[in-house]
Amino acid sequence: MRLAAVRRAQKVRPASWWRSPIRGPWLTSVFGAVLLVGIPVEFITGLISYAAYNPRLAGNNPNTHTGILHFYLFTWVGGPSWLYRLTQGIHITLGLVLVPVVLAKLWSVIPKLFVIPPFRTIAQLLERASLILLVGGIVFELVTGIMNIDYDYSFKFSFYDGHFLGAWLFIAGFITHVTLKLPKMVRALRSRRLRTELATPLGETEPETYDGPDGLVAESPKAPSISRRGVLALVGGGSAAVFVMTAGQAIGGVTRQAALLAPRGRSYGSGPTDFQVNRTAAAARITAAETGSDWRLTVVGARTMTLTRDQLLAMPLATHSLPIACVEGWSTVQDWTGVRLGALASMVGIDRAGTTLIESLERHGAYGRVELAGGQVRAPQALLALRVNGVDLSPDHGYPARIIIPGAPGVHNTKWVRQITFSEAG
Amino acid sequence: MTVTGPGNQRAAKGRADPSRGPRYATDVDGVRSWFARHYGASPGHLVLLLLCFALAGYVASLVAQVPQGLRIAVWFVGAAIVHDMILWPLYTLADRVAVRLHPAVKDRRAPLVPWVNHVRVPVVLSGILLAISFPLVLGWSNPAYRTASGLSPSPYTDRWLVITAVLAALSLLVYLGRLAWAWFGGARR
Repeated sequence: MRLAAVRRAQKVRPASWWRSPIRGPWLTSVFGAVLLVGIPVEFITGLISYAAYNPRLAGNNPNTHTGILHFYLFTWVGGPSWLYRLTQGIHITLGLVLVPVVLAKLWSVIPKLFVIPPFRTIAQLLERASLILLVGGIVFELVTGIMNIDYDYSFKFSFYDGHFLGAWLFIAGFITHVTLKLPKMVRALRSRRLRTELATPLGETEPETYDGPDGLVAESPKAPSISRRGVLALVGGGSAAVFVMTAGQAIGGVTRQAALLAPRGRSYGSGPTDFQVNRTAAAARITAAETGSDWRLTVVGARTMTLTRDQLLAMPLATHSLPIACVEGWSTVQDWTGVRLGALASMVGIDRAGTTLIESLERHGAYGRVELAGGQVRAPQALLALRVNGVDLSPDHGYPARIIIPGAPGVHNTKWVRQITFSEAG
Repeated sequence: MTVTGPGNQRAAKGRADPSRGPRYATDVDGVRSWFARHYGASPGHLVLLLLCFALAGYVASLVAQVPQGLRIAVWFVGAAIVHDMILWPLYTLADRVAVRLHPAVKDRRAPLVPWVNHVRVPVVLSGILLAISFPLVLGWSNPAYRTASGLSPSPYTDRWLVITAVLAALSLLVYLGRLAWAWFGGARR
């Protein structure tokens, strides 16, 4: 009786539509296994990036509503100067590299979307509903991430809100999916040997073992036109191509020249200030008059002092090789020269600097003011930079003075600084 | 997942036989099988999905409070629809057309070396590179790009076109190489 029902269902559903000779649980599980490693890395580096903004300090939070989802936050003091460069470089580069794998995974399971009837039990209905979180979530995260690094804000919502909450919606679906499918994935991976598959040419490619009318393996597969190893090579090759074309913006050096499709992989020239600009003075509406000889730095602490640029240059200067590492995944290491923030703090009577407010001449942007944690300010490498690579900062790099602190997101290295307000650490 | 069917019901009835064991076991099994029959999976499955929807529901309540939260929801659901209902059908259709145009191996007109993957590979790679840089390649972000970076104009459209052309040329070269190899190899035989 059941068999008759199955036959009837097959008559209704033209089984001939799904005829891929290589679709099957093993192939799906290979892509699944890659994502099982890659996606947790993406989620964790994403959470780290949010923490790196120190959103609990006044005015720093780029998100409007995080509810209890910020439960894990800790004070980000930066650690080694390369830390955020590493975590965010991984977040962006790996995210892009996973795009071909995600597309392949979705392709490999698409027959499931059209299974008729869509569900037979309540359990199946709920499981299907949770797939909206999974599929909508991964595509949403990738698309908003890609648009944001490419300066395309046409989604017209806050990227920070969307990408953060989208990640939590996605992870709900992801954890559910992994919990339900992990045994199946392990079984499927054991059903064939990777080494054997990689040695099987097109002529010898056979479909996987038929896994039923609702399964992934075609009932009457066509003759294969590409081998299973060919598909793996194509997806892997796609990921490799993405890596080559984008990773240079995070790795730097000569690799930058290969980053042809990275939004921040371009050369500005060969001069000492010819490195990536992410917000020009013009975009920030900084005028020459504001940054000219009338510019003064106000330093507030136990007392208030006003300093000219020459007075700052007359103070003991330190030079450190530090990265600007942006949330958008690119980074660039330069030699910055300036006054240690700790020295400025003691000058206004602060012994041990706590939370510090940095204000820029830029009044319109989201990062015209930022609060730094005490630990960030006290780091020996934390500078109010006046010069870079031996020359004065250029207007686009924050002339007359900018903040450079180790291990912080790029936007916290405030440009065109006009005022620093120190507090004593509690 | 537990499969329910007449067999399971019979098994449950069998266990309900008092001579088979203590009464409490019967109840637990009875409830289990009743649950599996009506729900379609184990209670653990239901608990997992309820936890999933509890988290998702909570996050959705935050989305609802966010400015432009409705847009986020629309983009979230739209992302799945655009992939499943537009992107996937289009590339599948294109692939089927390519495969159909290619004469079958047994066909008299079949080429010495099948060419379909020499079309697939450059097209797929080019498509992937477009997918990871579409706002720049399609010029959607040009004004913002110019303002933010101080660089203009965006070279990305040209770069992508050149990369695509190089991929296509490489694929053609490899194909011609394989063809020559097969031709001379075949002639020798």
